[in-house]
Amino acid sequence: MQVEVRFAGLFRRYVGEQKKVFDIPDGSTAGDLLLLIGREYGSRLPNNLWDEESGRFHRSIRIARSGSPTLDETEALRDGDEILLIFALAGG
Amino acid sequence: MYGNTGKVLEIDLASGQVEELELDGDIYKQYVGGSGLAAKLLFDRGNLDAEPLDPDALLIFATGPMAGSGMYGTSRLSVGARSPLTRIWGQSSCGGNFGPELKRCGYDAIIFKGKAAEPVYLLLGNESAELIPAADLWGKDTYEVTDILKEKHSKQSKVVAVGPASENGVPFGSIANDYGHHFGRAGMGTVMASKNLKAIAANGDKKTEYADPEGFKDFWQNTLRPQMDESVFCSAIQAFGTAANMEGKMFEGDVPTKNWSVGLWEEGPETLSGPAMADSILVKNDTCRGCGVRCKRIVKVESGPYQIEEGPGPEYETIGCFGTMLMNPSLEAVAKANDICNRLGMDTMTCGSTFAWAMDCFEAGILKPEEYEGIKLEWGDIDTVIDLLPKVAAKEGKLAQLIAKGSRKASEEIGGGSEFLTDSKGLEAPMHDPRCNWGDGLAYAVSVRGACHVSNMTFLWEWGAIEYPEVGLDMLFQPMSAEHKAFGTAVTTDMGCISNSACWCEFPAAALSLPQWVEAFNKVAGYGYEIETMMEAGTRIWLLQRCLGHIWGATGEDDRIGQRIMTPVEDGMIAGSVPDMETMLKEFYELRGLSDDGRPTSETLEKYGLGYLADKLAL
Repeated sequence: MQVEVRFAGLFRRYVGEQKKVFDIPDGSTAGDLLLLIGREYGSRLPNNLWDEESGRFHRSIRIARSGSPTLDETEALRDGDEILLIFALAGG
Repeated sequence: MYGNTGKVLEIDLASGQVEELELDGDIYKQYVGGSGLAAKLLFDRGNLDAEPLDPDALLIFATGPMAGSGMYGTSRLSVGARSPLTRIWGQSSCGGNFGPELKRCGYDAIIFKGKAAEPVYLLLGNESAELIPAADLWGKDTYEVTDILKEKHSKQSKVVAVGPASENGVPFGSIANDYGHHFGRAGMGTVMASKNLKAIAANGDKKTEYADPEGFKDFWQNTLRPQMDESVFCSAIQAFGTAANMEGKMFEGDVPTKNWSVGLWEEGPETLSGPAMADSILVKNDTCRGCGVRCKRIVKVESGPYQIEEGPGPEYETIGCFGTMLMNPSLEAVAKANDICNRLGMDTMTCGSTFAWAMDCFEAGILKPEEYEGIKLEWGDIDTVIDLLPKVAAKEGKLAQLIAKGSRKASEEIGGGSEFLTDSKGLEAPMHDPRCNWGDGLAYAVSVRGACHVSNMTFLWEWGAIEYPEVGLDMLFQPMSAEHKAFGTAVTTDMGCISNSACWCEFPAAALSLPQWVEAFNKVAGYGYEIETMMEAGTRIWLLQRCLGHIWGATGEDDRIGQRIMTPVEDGMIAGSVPDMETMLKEFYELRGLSDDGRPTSETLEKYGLGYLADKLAL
């Protein structure tokens, strides 16, 4: 199945792309997608945002299905999902 | 005495008398410093019957125990007073350099009372204080005054000053510290100017003793500093400022747009972010004293209608209030508005938010151009806003006079537009949307000064940016949900009260664990905290400041957020979302030991050593 991931703001600046369609196996979860994103773009990110060894993003990185709240990493994705990658940083 | 000097200046501006008070060490442990200490001093030494701008009202500057320690983010300073905007406890915190300098002069705080017969400024040196006539400074903007006092006394002097807006009684007047750092919120500059106090210039070189100087040095250099340097947040805002991820948060629905009526503005966000600033008007980074994060922006607009000379650039909140809120996509125009507000001494947040409210009122026909000098404020028309800013500061013209009241008072005056209000307790909400993170709504509603996100750390927790398992903040939750939010808001409010009273910037503070907070306090100030006693200090501060609000008339009915924020938007990721305030407030009251009317019970006050408040609250 396919899901489209939108990168916005600072994350977009880091990865240099605005959108990317990922082909993922049926039954893939939000956590599976995060791992794919990290593997593909990790080298473009600051060291403290993506840990290649553990395959984990910093806890400030989450994903949400467009128009709905943040997804738990165990939550299954659906074909055609539009995903927003969220970086929990702003303000002052 | 460690970390603090134990000395406070009390200055009667009416008589010119300067007195030096010595405080017991326990008050610092109980109230931390900064805004906590200021609230305690105001309660103990103030006339609580005084109106905000009465000569009897107190204005208190207070620094924190770690100011000057070199630890990132600790150079902030708090000002506390009864607010002329909200009429409850007002506090404002500012970065810059004045906090450490106050301590280098030998003092933790200054209490101002009375009103000088003629304008004055205060000159502070090593344990010295002198009031100097300032009639020649009255009417000058904050940048001019700062230049003059540095030239007259020393380039090394650190200056805080009010501008014409405060002199003219605009209730959201700010106090500037060395140009671009501002005590913006709640009209602390207005209180200062009401006392005929134009500025303070400080220059000292006294050292502060630490409880464990070698231990702190090692802890800072080998543990805390590397941790802050490697922090995701510190490195991001160093690179792109506080607006680093503004565009990302806009897509998430966190950034209020068109006076909180739009969930997603596809065309606007790209031009208003920190990266956009880096690509356009940014000249260089700047910093608060001793802070390696260096998140401040120095900008210059060289050509076009929004030219400004090289100087302090807008922060995230200002970009929201003069950008997305007004549907203005021009970062250069925001920088221009910021520059004008800085110089005239006005809070960009209340000012921009009130313009946004007025745009809604014009669109709805509640405000009519023919009744306001033919002016119509329309979405995206930043030029009219910029033209009006000096008039707002001067209170010249009918529309400017309306804006100069702040949104709630303006709405009350015209008898309409309440559906477009975005405040809590009269203070316009900051630029994070509770419809995106429901806990923010609760945090705004129960904030001691009105809608505020920096006297709590709720927004950082709710975004998933921080977690503190030692106090139960490691549970899973959804942003748009009431579950766990009362508990999370209570705990993060305590943490916010601690960091705010320590005059400690939330971004570097958020890079550390709670045991590290405790260790820092103990090595610097010898407070002997454990996590539990430190958190109790946070609750104590919140309760005291809330009770000052009760004494001045606030009730549980005021624990609300503006009607516009409680109205769902139709687009973007927050479409249809409205925070469940009733559920969250009920749980929060129970957790905090508050009665149904929102006031603490006698038992709650006793538990936190606040029994002295009971009489004032008629409990």
